[in-house]
Amino acid sequence: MNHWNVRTRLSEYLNGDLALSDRALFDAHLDRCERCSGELRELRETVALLRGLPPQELPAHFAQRVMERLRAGEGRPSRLGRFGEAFAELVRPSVAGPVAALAAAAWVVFLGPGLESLIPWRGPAELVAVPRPADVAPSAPASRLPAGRALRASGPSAAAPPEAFRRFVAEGGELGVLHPAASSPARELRGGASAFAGEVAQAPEAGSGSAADAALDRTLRLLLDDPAAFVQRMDLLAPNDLELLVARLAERAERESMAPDVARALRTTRTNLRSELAVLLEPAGAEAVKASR
Amino acid sequence: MVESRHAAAHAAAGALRARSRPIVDQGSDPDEDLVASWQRGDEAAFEDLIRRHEQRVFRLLVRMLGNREEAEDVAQETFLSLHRHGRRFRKEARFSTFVYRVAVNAALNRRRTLGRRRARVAKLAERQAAGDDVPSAPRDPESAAMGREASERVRQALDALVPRLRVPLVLYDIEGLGYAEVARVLDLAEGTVKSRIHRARRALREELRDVLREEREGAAP
Repeated sequence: MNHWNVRTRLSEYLNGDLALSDRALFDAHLDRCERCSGELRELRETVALLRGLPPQELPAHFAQRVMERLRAGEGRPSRLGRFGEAFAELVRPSVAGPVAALAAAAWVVFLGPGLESLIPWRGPAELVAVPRPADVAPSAPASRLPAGRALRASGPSAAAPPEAFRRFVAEGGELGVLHPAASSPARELRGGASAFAGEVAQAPEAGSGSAADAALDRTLRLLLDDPAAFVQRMDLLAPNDLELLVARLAERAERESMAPDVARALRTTRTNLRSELAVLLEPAGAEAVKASR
Repeated sequence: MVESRHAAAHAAAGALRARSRPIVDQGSDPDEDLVASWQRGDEAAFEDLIRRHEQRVFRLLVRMLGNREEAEDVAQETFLSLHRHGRRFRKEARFSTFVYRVAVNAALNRRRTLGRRRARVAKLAERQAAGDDVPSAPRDPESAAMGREASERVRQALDALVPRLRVPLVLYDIEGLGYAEVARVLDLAEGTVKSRIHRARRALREELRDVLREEREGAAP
């Protein structure tokens, strides 16, 4: 039972959710590992702080107020024609998000600000001119990568986004307007990017020279060259998109031995996303972030 | 030394597990009869459903939105939406799961409407600076010892978590739902729920290191 196995499952251990055999292995590891046992203690204390938050009392007559609004006609069922769409939008858990949108997000991050409008989690409504596929050929600005940190050469297909994404951008170009309450943009993103998502999700491991590697390398360059812009764009992503993209970035950064550089770049930003990204880039990343405090 | 550490860990694990975990058999729904009455047109049954779930909805929304007024507003919207669409509710899951899901989505929609997370944290900070804080009684004597300032720090750290980590954490550690129910509410795999809860706790720990240190020093003999 190594550090990684233990530390990724410490919460399960804390919750008492491990099988007996696993628990015994954890116990044995924690006996001899001050670092892991220290982290366990801190997690336990954190959970205690969280559960010690004072309770929130509901204002009086809440139920009465809701019933008054219902009697005033506010809770009437919608027409059948709009029911399915509105209901589906209401109950679709927004935190889950489509895996397919990762594809769009990954490309959007480095392809330029114009495509950011296609990210479903954007705030206010905007009228956006979505660039045509010909306008979004990725450029390679001069990078300030640390000396000796040249990334491994990517494959010959790196310059051209896959065909599926070209089609997605072409479809998205007709959207024009993105409103956070609209249900169709999210569905269109899913539909348009699903083919490309399959390519990225099933891409071979980092280092193989695939187009997905090229996308990850460009994103890492952005992180190192302009960490504030990187974090800002990460913050715009839908939940599952960010999780998957950062996991792939972390994998790539580790493979390229760039985790400490990534952590130092993140240290310069002022956002709580930094903590989450640092956790994902452990062990080297988190150590560098901790050292910055 | 070894035994006492393990004993402490297992005792803590037992306490965590026993805390508010639903014991209801997954196949039974305590709201089944009320929902059936409501779907047959009994509005008093719907009011009963509100009273059954209002507290947990409000509590969840306060932790998701970081603001009591917004939480109350979104809580009302949650029940109005339930009424608007819930007559078609079928028994694929417990009604409480459905309620949580509608509340979570309503909160996420509200956050999007209000704009970026930073703007909201700034609003919260303004309210706090103006002394417009939320008085409330501690849950138990142990938490009374935590202190108002530490409590506020924890609330800020929780509010600063990204939604995809904050929501499962709140559902599990504050609302007391099990992994399976959190997974059903959020339509995620259980493994994903476990992973996010763990990452959320670690991110929270990072933000609260100094609070943890102060609490530890304060508790030292």
